[in-house]
Amino acid sequence: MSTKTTHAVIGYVPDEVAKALGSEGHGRALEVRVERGNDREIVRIPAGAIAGVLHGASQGGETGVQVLLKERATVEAVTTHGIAGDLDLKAILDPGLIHRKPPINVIFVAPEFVPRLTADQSKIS
Amino acid sequence: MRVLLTQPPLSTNLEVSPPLGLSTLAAWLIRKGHEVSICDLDLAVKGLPSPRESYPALLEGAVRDFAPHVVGVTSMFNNSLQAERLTRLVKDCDDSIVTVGGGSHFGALAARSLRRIPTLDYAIEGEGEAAFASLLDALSRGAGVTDIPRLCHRADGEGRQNSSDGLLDLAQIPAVWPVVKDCIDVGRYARTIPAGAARRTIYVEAGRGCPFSCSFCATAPFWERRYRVKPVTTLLEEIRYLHEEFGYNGFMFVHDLLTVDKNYVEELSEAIRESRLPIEWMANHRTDIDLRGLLPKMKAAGCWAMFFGIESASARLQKQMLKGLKREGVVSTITGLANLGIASTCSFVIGFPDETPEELSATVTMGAELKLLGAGIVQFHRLRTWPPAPLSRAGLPARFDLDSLRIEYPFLEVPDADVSAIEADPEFFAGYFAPHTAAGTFAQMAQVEMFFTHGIHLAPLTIAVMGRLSGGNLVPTFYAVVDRMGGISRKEVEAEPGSPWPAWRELHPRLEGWLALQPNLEEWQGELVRGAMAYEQRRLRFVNSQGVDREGLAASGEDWGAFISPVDIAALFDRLRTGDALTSDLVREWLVVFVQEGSNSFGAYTTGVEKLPDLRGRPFLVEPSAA
Repeated sequence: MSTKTTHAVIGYVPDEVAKALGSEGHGRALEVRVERGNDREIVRIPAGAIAGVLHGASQGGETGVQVLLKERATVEAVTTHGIAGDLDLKAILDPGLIHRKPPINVIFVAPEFVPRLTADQSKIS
Repeated sequence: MRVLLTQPPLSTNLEVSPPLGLSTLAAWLIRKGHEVSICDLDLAVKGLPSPRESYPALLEGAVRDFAPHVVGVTSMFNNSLQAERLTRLVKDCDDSIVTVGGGSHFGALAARSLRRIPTLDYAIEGEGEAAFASLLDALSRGAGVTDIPRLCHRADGEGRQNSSDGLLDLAQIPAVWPVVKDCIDVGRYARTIPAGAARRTIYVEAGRGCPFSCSFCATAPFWERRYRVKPVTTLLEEIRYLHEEFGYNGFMFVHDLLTVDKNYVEELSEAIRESRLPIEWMANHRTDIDLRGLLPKMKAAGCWAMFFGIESASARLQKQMLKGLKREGVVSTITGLANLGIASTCSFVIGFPDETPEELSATVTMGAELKLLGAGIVQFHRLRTWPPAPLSRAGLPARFDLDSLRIEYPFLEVPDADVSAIEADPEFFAGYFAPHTAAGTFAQMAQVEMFFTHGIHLAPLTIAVMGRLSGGNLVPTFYAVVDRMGGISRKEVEAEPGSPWPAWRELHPRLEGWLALQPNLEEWQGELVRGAMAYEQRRLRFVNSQGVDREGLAASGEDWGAFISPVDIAALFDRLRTGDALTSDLVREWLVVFVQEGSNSFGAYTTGVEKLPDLRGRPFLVEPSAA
């Protein structure tokens, strides 16, 4: 296993988005849902930040993706559904109810191997 | 030859996974040209009014219908008495049928099994596939059995144990499930999964063997501590078959410690992801094996959980049991997994001979704190000396442990005759003769096991606060509650499978009782416990009700309910997670608001009590924002 690392966003996109993505993104910003079947939290990735995309399984209309990021890329974590903002509600981090996940993960893939890793993704069925 | 493989009833669970060891053995024997059928009595008795009385007749029917030459009986430790009865029953049906024992218990004590059970003709020590096939070959040829490795047989009225000639290369085992499709109805197992289950899970074998030497572990020495894995292609073939044919989408990879070989885990993760199969999986792991960097790949490949044996919070006991885990490593691993959205099951072993009540208290508190850090399930198990664990040979003073037997027996009731039979043979049923422990009496240890496993599941915040405030006194003060109020019972706790309420009805009065028996707690400390308990009871009600349960709420809407908490719950969670001190400033009134954010997702929030008028009159709190 290589000790060099790449940053990646791991999550889910609608199947139709996955089909259009190919192995290097689709030239537009990509929105990745953090949890399957839940669009409450998404990570928005600028088109220029994507080094490659690995596709996983499709289930319930969503495809799992691993979006490998270019070095020093920035992404935006977005909460799409809000709780009424005027009540000063502070979330209780109760693991019995919610799971907070960091938007970016580190994986053991050297950046120079990303193109080879994603090469087979050009034929997304 | 015609071979019938059977297992006795194993548990009271209504959801059943196909018997893995028997299915693997069946696949091996089928490939060797034998005709095999599996009679799984654990599945067969489900839904019958009296499983305990029904299983013998079910096997009788299977023997009559299949007319086997050989019957193989597997035994876990908790159902060995039933396995023994099955061998008698087979001989009663037809004395010419050859009986063979294997599995965790007969396979660990092969010679002792032959001595105890006259109706058992052979037993196989350890790994069974090659020995069973060689035995069938010898029987069909009328040849002798003295040179069959691992076989235990009788000669001159005595049990003789043949030596081993090594372990299988697991690449020789075929993909099990397609091969056994005509001898076991996997679809029947799939139909035991409740409609609406989060995932449809099944056990599949990924490999065998753990190189570590934990003193209490029977599995590692059973597989001779040699780490082996199935080829990724074989495992993937099994997964694909089970998913496509039966809709399974949650795979529990059975391996003592799969993550020893990170390259294998990486290869497996890549293969699963590339397969695009919409499945999830879990496996056994250790907190001192560093998977950082690989975990995201595992997550992307569907890893939903990892299982850990944490065993104890005590550094002294960690060293003594040769586990050697460090608290910092445990905490960082569980936290790291939770951050990735990978759940963890944390298992503890309690009741080591010189374990003190203070050490046990620290272990229980650690379990609750791990739950707050994101562990999915925390469970406690009484130390038992199952052979061939190193501790089973240590000659520890032990006593029959009826309470443990009651917790694990395959039936809810343990008949007196079964108790007598097990109690009368400490050598054979060694697992139910638990070592004495300085941590408590046998009954007290059973209560700790049940109470805190369920308690941390339903009320981790409350138990973490209790642990922090009482320190080493948590367990002794719990014993005082049990003395005063009596213990909880398995029958009551399991009264309604899937519902938290029977367990809560047992736990809640005892948590209140604990509080009432703490004269040394300062008033604010008592308020913290009461506040945590009230919060967790409200959470249970909110999450488990159809619609918003409005009883006792200060205000509510269509997707929310609010109550006034005497404690700053958000800060309390934070302090417990960070290890900061609990102080009296946590006792102050806050409004707690539970919100249903999705069909099966909930959030909890706090705000000042002065916001209550603003909340009232709002039907919904979840609102889409312009993202």
